[in-house]
Amino acid sequence: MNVLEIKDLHFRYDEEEVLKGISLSLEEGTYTSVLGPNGSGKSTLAKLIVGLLEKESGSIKLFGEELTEKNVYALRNRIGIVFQNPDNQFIGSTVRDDIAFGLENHCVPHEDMDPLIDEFAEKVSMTPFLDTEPTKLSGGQKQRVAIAGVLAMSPEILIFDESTSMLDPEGKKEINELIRSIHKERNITIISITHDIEEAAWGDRVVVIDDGKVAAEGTPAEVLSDAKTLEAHRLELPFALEMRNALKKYGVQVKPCLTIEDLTEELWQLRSAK
Amino acid sequence: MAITFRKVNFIYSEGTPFSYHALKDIDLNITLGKVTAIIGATGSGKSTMVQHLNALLVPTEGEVEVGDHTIKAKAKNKNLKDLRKHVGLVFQFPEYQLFEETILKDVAFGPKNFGCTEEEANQRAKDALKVVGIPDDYYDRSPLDLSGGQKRRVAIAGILAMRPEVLVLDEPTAGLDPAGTKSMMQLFLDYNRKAGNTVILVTHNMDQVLKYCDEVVAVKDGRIAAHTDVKSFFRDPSIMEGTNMNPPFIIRFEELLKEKGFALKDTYGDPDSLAKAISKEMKR
Repeated sequence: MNVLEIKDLHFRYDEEEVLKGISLSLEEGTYTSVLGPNGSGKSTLAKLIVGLLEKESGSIKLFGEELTEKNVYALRNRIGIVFQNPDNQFIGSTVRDDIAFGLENHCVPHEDMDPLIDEFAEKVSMTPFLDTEPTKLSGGQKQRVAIAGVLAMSPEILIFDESTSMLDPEGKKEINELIRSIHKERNITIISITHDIEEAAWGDRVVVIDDGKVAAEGTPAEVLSDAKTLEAHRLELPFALEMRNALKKYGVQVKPCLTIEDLTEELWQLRSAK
Repeated sequence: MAITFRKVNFIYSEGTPFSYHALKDIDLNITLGKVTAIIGATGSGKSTMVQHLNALLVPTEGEVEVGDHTIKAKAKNKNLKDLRKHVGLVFQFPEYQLFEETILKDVAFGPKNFGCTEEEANQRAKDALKVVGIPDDYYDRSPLDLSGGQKRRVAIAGILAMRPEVLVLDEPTAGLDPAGTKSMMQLFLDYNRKAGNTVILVTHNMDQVLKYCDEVVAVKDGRIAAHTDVKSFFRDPSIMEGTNMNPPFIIRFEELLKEKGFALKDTYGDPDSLAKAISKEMKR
């Protein structure tokens, strides 16, 4: 089943046409990475999906239902979004309050809250910090709280809009691992908007957006090994494929691999076969 | 001119319940004319440290010497304006600090503030905008109408227009797309290689350190954990522990191959030399 179906979606900010006819569908439980240069329309698309912006024309269907002014609140309740800047999305004065805020919005009775807060804090490994103020947390910890907050609303689709781009490498790794474990355990459909090509190698599908249009779409192996397309849209090859090209120059032919682990294995087997 | 930290301690909100000891006994000599990376986990003290370079922060103890200027703890530090002419600091997300009506005015603000004539300031602004790749039909537009990446370029041009001999950048490529990141890094490299200026770069990106930097200063819990040239830095994985950093892909890849028994000689941390070494090993 497709949880999201977008057809010929157009959007403009005043004079400027930002989305120029996007069509896209996402199957339930899949993980899709959205790549594209700055200003390509990726974040605009995310905001349209959650109804924070209003389309100019085209269609957005969520869970089989056309998104309209009337059902936007009901449908938005089924989608969670985590933004880039961890400081802009902390609402409560402690971690506990912040997670509770999401539950209150979902009309969860007060007496049922505590076990739920404990559950979600546990899920994002923030239990020891439940009574900590946000200023005392690192960027990665704040993002984990933001994720707990949206998970508490039991979303069916989760959108991450460059949620790791302000974090240090360790924070980035933590959040990526958390997203992947959520995806595996809960069968939530994930949309991850990112500049990190290595991050996109993980997942079911990759969509490249440029100049308000879908420029390429397919499995990570298909899209990320297509050097011409990536370059045309200001993206880089994953390191393992850049390495493959360098090896070719010195007469070593390997099949395309997306990760250094796979490439190491491939080289090791090639050498052992000799 | 030299850049030297001597026994520098810095405590935020000293004497209050919120006091926080951010820098602890920092002794450091930054080599001029090079590109130096400053790395460390979030909250390790990197940003606090670089803000001492143009006296935005003054040591709680110790002193910082930058060229003819010495900034001492508990002293009245004079001539800071002259110091700031020589040391340009670009903050994280500098695009939030654009404020003028037009792009040209925004970039010319710095040189004008430091005593350039209107004409000279505008010329410097135009030169700087050219360097960062903003075309001249943009000069009269509002900087606030630009895309995020363009705003970042204009903000950096605002510092370049002051022609500082020391350019300090706090995570200048965070949030930029790969192509934007690459051209930005090339720009800083040119500022160093072609014009002989000193570039100091706070970064989380180890691939950038490997590709563009000469030296690395690793900061851990407010102390200098290591200060070394880039090659030795990546040869000793223990330095990176506790800094929340990961080695660049190419170094990790080389390590994986070595674990599988590949003997790799004459590799220089770039795909070409590594591919050559692998090909030799395959023919063996």
